[in-house]
Amino acid sequence: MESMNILSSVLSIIFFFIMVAVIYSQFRKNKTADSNKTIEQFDGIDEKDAPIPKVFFVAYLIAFIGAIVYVLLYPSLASWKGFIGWTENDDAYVAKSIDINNNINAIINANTDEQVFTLLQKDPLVLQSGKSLFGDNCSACHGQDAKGQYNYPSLVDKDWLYGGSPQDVYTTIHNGRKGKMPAWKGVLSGKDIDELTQYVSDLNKGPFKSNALFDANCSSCHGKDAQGTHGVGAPNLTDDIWLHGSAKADIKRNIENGMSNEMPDFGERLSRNQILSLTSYIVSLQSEPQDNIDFMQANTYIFSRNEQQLPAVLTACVACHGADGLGALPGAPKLAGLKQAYIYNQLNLFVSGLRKNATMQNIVAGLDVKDKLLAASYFSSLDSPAISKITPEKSADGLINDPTERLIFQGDWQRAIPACSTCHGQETEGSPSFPRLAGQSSDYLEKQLFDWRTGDRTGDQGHMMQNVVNKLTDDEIKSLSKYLSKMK
Amino acid sequence: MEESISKSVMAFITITTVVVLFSFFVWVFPGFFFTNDLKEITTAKPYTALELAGRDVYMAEGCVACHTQMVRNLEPERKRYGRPNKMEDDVYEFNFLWSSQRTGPDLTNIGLKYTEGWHKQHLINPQAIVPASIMPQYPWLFEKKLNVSHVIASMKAMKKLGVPYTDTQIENSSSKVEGKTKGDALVAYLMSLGVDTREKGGDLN
Amino acid sequence: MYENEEKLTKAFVIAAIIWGVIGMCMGLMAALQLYLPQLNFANEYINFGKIRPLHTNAIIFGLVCNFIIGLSLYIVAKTSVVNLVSKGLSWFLFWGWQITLVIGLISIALGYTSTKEYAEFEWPIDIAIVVLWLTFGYIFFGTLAKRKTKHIFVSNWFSGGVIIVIGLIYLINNLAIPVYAFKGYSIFSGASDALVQWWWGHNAVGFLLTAGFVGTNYYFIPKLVNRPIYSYRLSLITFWGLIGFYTWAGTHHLLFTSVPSWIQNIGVVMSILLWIPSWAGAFNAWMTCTSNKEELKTNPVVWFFLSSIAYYALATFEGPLMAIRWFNMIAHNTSWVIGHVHSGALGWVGMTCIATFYYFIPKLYKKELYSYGLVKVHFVLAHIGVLFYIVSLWIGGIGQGVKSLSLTESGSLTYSFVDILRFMEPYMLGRAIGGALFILGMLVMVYNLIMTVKKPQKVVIEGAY
Repeated sequence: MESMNILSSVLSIIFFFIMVAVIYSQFRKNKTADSNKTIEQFDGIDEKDAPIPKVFFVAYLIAFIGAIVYVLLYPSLASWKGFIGWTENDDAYVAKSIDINNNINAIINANTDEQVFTLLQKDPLVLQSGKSLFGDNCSACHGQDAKGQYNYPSLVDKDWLYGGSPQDVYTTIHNGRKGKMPAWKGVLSGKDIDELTQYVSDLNKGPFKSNALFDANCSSCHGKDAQGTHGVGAPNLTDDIWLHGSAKADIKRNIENGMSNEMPDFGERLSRNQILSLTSYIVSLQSEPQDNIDFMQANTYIFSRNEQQLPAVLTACVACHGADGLGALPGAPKLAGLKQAYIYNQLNLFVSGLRKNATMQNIVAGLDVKDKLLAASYFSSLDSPAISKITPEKSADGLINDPTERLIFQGDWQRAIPACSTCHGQETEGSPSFPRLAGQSSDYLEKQLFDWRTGDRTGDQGHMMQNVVNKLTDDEIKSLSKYLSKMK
Repeated sequence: MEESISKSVMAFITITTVVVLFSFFVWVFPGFFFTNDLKEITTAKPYTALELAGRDVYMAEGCVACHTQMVRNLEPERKRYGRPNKMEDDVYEFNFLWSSQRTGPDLTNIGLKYTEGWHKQHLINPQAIVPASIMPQYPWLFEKKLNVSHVIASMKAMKKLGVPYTDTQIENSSSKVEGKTKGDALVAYLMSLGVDTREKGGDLN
Repeated sequence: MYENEEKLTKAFVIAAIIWGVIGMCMGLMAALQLYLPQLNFANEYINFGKIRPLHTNAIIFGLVCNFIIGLSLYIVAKTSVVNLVSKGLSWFLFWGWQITLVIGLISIALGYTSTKEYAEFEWPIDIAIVVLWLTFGYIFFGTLAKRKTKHIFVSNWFSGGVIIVIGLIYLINNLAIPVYAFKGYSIFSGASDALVQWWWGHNAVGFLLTAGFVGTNYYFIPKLVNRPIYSYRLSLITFWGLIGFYTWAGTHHLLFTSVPSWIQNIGVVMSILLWIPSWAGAFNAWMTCTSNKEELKTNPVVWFFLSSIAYYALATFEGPLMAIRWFNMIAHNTSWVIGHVHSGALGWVGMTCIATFYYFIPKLYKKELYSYGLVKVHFVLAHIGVLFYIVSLWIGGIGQGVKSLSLTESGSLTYSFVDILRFMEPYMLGRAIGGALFILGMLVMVYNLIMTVKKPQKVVIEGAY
């Protein structure tokens, strides 16, 4: 290879000087040129002997010198690296931009997971980066507007196959998803498939009715109530969102042939911070229209500095919940310190009737989106008492001695009851999706737990809370409520 | 010297040929000897029978008229298309497919981006998935079956050119492509692009 | 004395016109497909992936090669004052070329293609082309060797250069092992195949589309304006510059790719050096063309020649510019390149062909041109067409390049691929309109020439034509 390089370099130089010699030779001879002289005649065409204009020699001189300088400075011959040490990487067009990695890392290092996503969504550069990543990596399936299309889910509605929390979205992007529904042709008879097709296509048209075939074959993924399961990405069949077609023919085809719905993974293509930006952008799209986000952010800012007088629409709220959000009337929960997203979500649940309470449903019916956002941001901005760390006594095998404490911090896996702290936070301090429990009034807590059981309160993801409460005894509910209310 | 070209045909032919061959020997000829060194360091893997058949479809359909397979080492290009090509990546690319037009996006790392299902839908009707797309529709690809003997001939030719296929691989290839359509092969080829040269830790930044 | 040569040249020129119109229509089809994808008709044989190589091959091997072969053989015979060395072989060359081309284009439509640009034909066609090209070389140099003049006429240098360079490079670039009928694999892989391909690719432009026409111009411009060639010396440095630097410039197609950087850089140096001999040639042709003031004022055919020289100067300025690394960074892979190629292909090659047809076909048939008014109409259509075409792609292509590289303040891509696609849309239409106008002009020319040939009376032409 080395000899090849030397040969190649030498030939380049020889060639160059041949060309120089040709031009120089013409330059020397140019004096003998005579415009009027005819050199020879070909088929009636005279060849004249006009001199070459000087400008061409000057141009050649400059170009030849330029070429030599270029070759000396830059690697242009096989074994020559150039005097200035240039490599192609110097030409890699690295933009002089703000490194948002610093911003993102600073946010991550100083905050909890929940806060991270809230803060990231407020950083316009992060959203800009997320939007840009979305444009080239996601829009080919989910559409430029993220509204999805046939076979590819919308990312702006609240219907999530694998969960819509920022953490879920992050996981989906990082690991990809491989949704698979088995084919039922051959497993079920044609008649059964027809019955199921009819049943599924009617699910969103009236009140829920169970079906034995569905229970036996479909409910393990789609849930007993056909509301879907995030764990396996089984869609909710009771709403009006049909990813693979709503016509009976579509439904039948999917039951017969099954469905493979795959999202590729980007964990090895995008950096962590890029996935965070992308997640923040996607979550910001689905939460609310942009003007509502702006509105909420503006108000949160103001409330947190307590500089604004209470808006009139909130007078009804504070009458029961108190201007300090600590509850003015018995039975009214403390709202201070609950997260904005949780409060807003609950208000919507009252509207939809998924959560039942005559007083609240009456009041909420008269609120528009901005009122609800205002209420949510107001109460979430209020200070709530700090919770002191609790260190329960444990037996030698690591189990907490007190049964109530054990339910809260460890759960009871014999009965498949997860710990309260799994969702509600280490100290049950709450998160955007789950309410704070510590210090809440015990009457309220007790009523809520019983409401979950009776179905007066619903609307949680996959009936998670209902499933838990159904496994609790009445005594446990009472002792939990008492204990939690005392946590401060 | 320079005027002898007008005096004799032999001089003309000789001089012209010699002058032209300089460039050949300086930068074309050395390229013929890259290959063995590159084979040592490459992470590229030879295509499977189906992928190779898909590559032939890619060539036959003239995909190179619009799609490059050459990510330049520029920041915006890395961010859009991923890891830039290295010389050793293409060591088994008999007929390079870098192309020179990016009417459609670069496909060097396209195997890391979409699912097989997407490719199939998209090849059949690109506008149905990406409304702004100006790509032609290729529905017939999924109706025409591969010619098995052609695939075997392709593998044998590749082996002759130095691609490390074993005889067993070539013998087994017919079962791998039997009954598959041209479209299946093309999708398999597209899904393989960028997979063997993939590097951990994010290539789109 | 030159009956066979005239007959042969008529055949080649007519073939060139027919292939030219076919090739341009395919180009228009391709342009429209980029604006309206429905025009691909979901059809296996006429979608863009097929039409694009059909367009380039029909133009390069149909229009350009027929033009160069036919006229260079005519010129070599006339300026050497001898007959072609073999009548039989010359007709074998003609029919062989047309048949090969028809089979070649059909094979591309059927999907038999090497994908290497302007070398798409598969190995059986390549073999046929090499055999025919050697025949061409034999006839040309054989005739030249018998010449009765002392020197070799300038035109013949360029034609001879085309024959040698194209023959050599075409052969090496198409070295392949056959896989089955009409399918082969290049014996080179990856980067080394890329180097061979662009050694060919740029010389297809440099020799077929440049040197060949420089050569015919050295004959036809003096003939048309009835004036001598301005400067023999300028022709000499043009020739040396072209055969010297052109073959080196190909690596500017590979800037920023994975080929070693020194190979990229040497291409940049040579591309810029190439600017000077190109303009020297343009200057020589310009001085010759403008030397007859009377013709210049009245004869629209002279205007065509002048415009072609102007476009040549434009394209050979733009070329070195685009070879500079940081222009190339923007221009590479974009439609700017297509615009650049067409300012050469429509402006320079197209208008040279047109001017030659207008001048030469009436001479060949010994008739007066049917209508100079229609030539003026054609002149206007051709110019508006070219301008529409290249300006559209300047805006569209440079925009495409800049937007593709654009980053926001946060270092993320400003435009998604689809954003850029949408941006390009109007310019794609503008380009198609330009192409359509150019073809309309071609049809006016075809009509004009048919009417010329049909004219009953023969005019007596003095001396040689």
